[in-house]
Amino acid sequence: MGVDPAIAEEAAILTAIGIGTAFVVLLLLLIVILLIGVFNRRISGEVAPSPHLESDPQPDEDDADARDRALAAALAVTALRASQPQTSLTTGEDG
Amino acid sequence: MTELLDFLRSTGFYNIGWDNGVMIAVGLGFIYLAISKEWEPYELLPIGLGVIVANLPLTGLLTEPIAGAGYQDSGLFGIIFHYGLAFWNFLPPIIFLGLGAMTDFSPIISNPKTLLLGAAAQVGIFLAFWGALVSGQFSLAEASAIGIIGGADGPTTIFLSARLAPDLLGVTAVIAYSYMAAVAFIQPPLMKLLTTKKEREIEMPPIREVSRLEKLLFPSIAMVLIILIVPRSAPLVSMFMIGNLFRESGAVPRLTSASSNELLNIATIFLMLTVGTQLSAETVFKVETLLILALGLVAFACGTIGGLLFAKFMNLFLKEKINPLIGSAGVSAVPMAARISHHMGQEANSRSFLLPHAMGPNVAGVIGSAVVAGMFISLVTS
Repeated sequence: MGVDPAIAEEAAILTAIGIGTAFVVLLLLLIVILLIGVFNRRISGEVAPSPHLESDPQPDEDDADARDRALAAALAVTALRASQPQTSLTTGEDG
Repeated sequence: MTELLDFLRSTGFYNIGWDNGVMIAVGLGFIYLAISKEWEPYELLPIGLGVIVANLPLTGLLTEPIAGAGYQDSGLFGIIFHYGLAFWNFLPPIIFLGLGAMTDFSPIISNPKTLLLGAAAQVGIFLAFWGALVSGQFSLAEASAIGIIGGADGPTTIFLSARLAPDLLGVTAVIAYSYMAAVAFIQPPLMKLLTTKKEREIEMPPIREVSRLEKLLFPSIAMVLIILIVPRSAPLVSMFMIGNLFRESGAVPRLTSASSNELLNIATIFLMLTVGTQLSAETVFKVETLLILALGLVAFACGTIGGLLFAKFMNLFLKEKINPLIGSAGVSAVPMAARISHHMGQEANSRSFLLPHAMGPNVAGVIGSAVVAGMFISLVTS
């Protein structure tokens, strides 16, 4: 039992660097994710068109048509899902 | 008559020792656990078979190729061990490619503060590392290989052991996988001990939907950043992120499928059989093995405690509290540790759904232990 002082010193440095590196790397990844989130919001904000900006020549008729199509699609999907067995959430292999 | 006696002396029956018999029984035990109890079957079944084969005498299967000597004398598992692990060490990174192709980073991206729990759980690695050094039985390189068991990540343990302490490879790998299989017994008592019922009942809101752009940018930037900080972690980190980019790109479904199915399965077969063959009687029947077994348990327990306590510490500053049970998932052991956090949470509060939240620290633990392994390889010479 017992550790050579030189090895103990090296081990202490390794411990400090190891834990420090793990925290710094994961902290930097946290910052990266936050920045990606900001970037993503800007991109999607610029790309997504505002529905009220453009005028529509026949709004009422088209809206009603679109609603009917959406309703038909929703009913079709619901019927399809009801006729299929329920799938379960799968998880990965261990690592 | 002399020929007959010579033949009898050349059989395995004549040369088998009691210690080989014990190891074959151990191999059968692994096979039993894998088949009957479904404990890590993809790992423990081939490992158990490898143990049995390795302990049959005079097979020559484990003879490694040595430059200058007769290459034709090399054994099958000696060749796989030499090129797959000790010399080129390419099998663990291939496993990481497959794991990356199966990983979804959405939980981390939607709740990035859980990344820190993955870092806190790495404390187990260093406590076991110090325990190994204080025992006086192991060198700095060997202590690093023992400590990494606390990362609860099989391929990382194998990758580091093969590089720094090849003699301990079989023992560290088997202990890591055994404790990962036993995580359902190790973690819950500690989780109950270190959290109050009120804390375990905390409900966390559902994770937000993550855009495709975020899922593509995160692994790309993370790969470059981590490798620039710890270049020696590149074999594991790069393959993990490349596998994930295959998946998230949506452009290469065949590569994603090959990485997460065929390639992963082939690498698992070779890796686990070879790990099993490293558990021969002469490497296992040592005091050091028992010590590594105890230190591995300490590493797992301390990693769990580190994650739990750090989650409680974070709650001191957070407006929207996190359930500290997800902290224990920071030890990796994907996805078992996350499932245990979820089950413990549901036990305390049936409306609580912690699985997606626990996957965050779980995946962060994989990244954290790969980073620590890279740091050990950079700074410790075997």
